[in-house]
Amino acid sequence: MRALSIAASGMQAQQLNVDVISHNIANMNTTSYKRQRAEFQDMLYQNLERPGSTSSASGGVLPLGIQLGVGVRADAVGRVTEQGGIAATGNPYDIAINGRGYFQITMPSGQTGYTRAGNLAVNADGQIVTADGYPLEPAITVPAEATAIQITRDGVVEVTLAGQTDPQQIGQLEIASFINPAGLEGIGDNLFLETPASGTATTATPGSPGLGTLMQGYLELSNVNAVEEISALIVAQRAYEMNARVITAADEMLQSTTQLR
Amino acid sequence: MLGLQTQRVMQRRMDVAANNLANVSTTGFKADGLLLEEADRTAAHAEEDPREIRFVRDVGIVHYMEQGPIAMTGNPLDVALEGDGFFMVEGPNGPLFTRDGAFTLTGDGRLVTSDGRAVLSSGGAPIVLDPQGESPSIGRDGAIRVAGVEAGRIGVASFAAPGALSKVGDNLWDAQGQAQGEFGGVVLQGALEGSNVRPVVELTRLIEISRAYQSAAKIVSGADELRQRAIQQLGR
Repeated sequence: MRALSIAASGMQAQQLNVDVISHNIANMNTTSYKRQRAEFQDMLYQNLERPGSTSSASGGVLPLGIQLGVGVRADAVGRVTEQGGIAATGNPYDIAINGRGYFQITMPSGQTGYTRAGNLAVNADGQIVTADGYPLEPAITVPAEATAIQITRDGVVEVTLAGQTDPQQIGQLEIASFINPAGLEGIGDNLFLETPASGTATTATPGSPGLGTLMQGYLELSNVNAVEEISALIVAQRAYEMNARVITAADEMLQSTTQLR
Repeated sequence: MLGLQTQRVMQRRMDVAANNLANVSTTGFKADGLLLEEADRTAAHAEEDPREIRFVRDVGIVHYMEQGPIAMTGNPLDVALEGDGFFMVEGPNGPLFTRDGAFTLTGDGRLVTSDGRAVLSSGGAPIVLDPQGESPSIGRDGAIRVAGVEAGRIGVASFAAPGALSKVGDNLWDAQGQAQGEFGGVVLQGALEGSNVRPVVELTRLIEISRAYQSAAKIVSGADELRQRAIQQLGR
């Protein structure tokens, strides 16, 4: 009886769906989190009677065959890279990217990581770092005597030094963009790594054609929509129950078979 | 024998209903149905006592090609088709067809399906976008524009008898040599077509199938009892 394994594949798919939805809901308040979505495909079809095969000696041809599907499988969990909402925080080291682009981070391994979470800070050496303490690339050091910092929409970092009136430029932020940002590999901590699917990073100053601009004093929120996720959760749960119902029905049929004698 | 044949057909109907329900969340999935017919056979001892026997036989699978619900996803490379038609994707022997428009780009800018098959343009060639370019906009006619410049057109094929295409799995269909026609529908960007399986119909069918199966099992066991009694009484 195929129905049992078909329904099992359906339950497994819905379980994965619920896993993805719960991860989205858990990250509803994660800075710059991009929601994920599970994609499903039908599995291969078994040809019991191939359409177009000869049905009689006189050369009749079957217009329809019997092709039985054998269930469903998950083929991808994709990331929806839609812009999240932007909220004012008033913190001068909070920077949101409005549009396409990622900050570049030097990770402890020396590798370059990418993130949209702009909740930056200054470490003991005056370097601008992420919340995890990884320095930005290109590195920018804020002098100890700085009293204020301004970051323009196109990424110029200026500081006002104590006793001076004119701000001084100390660096230029650059952001990276990818042809297929959904193909980046998420490694947790709001960080992403480049993959062959994402394409190589193209770096440029913010505000260049096709790239986003920076907003100092703001953070990008998660793009999870609570209403959407909860209704998706309801659908997934009901679909799970329906597949369980198929298993019960198939079981009843098998039971009546074993009771034949 | 009749009971057995009914049970066999009911098991197949069950498999079809189970596959439909397993695919309630599959993008662009089309529900299947088992086509049954009443078959006439004359019994073996027909010469003295011609009696017609009627039983049920499964003759084929039909695909219900109704439009599935369209849901907005917010992903610029998700496209849905409204109307009869299929996206063309690269297959091992000529194009295959799909209604699953969850497309993505590869690192070198090729437009591919979620399992990496190249999406073909109306001319039948893979679609390549500029890796450095802005995010593309897709018109209702399938034309992809990057910063206002047309970069290709997503090929959409339409068939006179879409139900006669055969499913090959992975949301793909094989045209079986059918000629392609002009697509009269609309391409929608940022949306996906859901599965057209109607859970209420499938669940009702499920109940009906398992009851029909049980009553067929009764016929089988009734016939068995009859035979047993005949053996006992005649053998005496």
